[in-house]
Amino acid sequence: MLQFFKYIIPLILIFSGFATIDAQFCRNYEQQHCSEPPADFVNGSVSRAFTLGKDHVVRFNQILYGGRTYFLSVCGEKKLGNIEFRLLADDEAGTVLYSNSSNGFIGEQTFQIENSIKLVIEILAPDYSVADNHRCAGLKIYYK
Amino acid sequence: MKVFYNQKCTWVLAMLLIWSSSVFSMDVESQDEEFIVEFYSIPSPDEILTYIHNSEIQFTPRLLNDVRKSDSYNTFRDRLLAYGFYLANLAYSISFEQNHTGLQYFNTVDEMGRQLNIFPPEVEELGHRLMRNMNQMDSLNLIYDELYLLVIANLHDTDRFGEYALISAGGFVESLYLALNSDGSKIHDDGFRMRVWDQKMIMDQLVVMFNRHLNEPVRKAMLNDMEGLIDAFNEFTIETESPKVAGTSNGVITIGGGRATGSTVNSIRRIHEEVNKLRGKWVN
Repeated sequence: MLQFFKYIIPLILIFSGFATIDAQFCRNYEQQHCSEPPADFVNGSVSRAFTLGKDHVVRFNQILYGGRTYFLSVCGEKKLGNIEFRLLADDEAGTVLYSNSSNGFIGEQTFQIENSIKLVIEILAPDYSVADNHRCAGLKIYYK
Repeated sequence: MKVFYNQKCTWVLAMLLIWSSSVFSMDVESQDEEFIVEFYSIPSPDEILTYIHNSEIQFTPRLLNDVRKSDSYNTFRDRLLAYGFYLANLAYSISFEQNHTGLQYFNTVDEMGRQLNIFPPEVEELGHRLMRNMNQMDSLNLIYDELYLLVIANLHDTDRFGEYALISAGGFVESLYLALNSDGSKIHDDGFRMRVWDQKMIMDQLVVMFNRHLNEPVRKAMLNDMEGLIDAFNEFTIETESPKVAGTSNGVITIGGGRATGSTVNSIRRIHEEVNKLRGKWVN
């Protein structure tokens, strides 16, 4: 029974840790890999790193203030392939206002917001097909 | 025989654990097949304050929450709300270039953050940088931004969304309180009032976050405390247009809609009263 505590418990602790390592392992990924905004933009409160996987969609429910210009850039590990980001209206239909898939999956876009609105930013890796393996990605939101 | 029995027992337990962990992994995988990770983001106190006051108010130090009170918040909920107040106080001081006051609030935020165990290890380096650049306001500003992002990222990465919701609620109410009560606040000006009304979206988003991420007693307490403010924001019920792409110029896409055409700006008297009442209750 002693062997159980000596060998198995540490193994369980090590493996159970893997579930939470992912997101923290990618911390600051966006700062190092996503495109920089022009110098007059300041960092918003939502820039962050996360993980993407096969059939995985990350959604940010975001409030953007009227009269401000927002610079959005996305990035991810090369093995993820193209990173798609969409801007959706927060309505029942989830109307797509913009998708970089119609723009060659370009990683950055600037938006001028006329009136304060709630939007959803969706990010995914549509070509990534490796199951059970998540990789680092990031989103930068700057504004002026 | 006893040794054999012990070894057998160990291996049976090990196999059971491996089996149970693989079942757990399968659950995660099957969720992954259609996995949507959803984050709810609230603008930082800095963003809320600068948006509302639009450089039209004056620094009013009497409004700030006393740093000596930071030890007097007893429950975990109260301490997280207070953390939001102090973050807003720090942002407010920095936005008016009040270096000395800003440093006091930075120290409070730093100390409370450690007690609340919400800091990732990277915060240590921020503290050292601050000490090296003590007299540079720009540095304090940048360090505030980094600190805020690190704390929020840490809470997200470790699935502590309830704590994020409570800190955001404290920061939101304190930011409104500072914007509405500062000397020079233009609460009768249409533009100012409209920018206050715009915060209804944050109020709505906070309610969603409370419902999703707080346990029942805390959720009830928060909704109960904020009932008056929620009602006050709900007085503004005009229908808004769906957002739409209004045009593109020099690669910049303009998103229009979001506000009813020709809408009148309601009074913010009740919001002002409810903000002051709630802030008084939370700050003590």
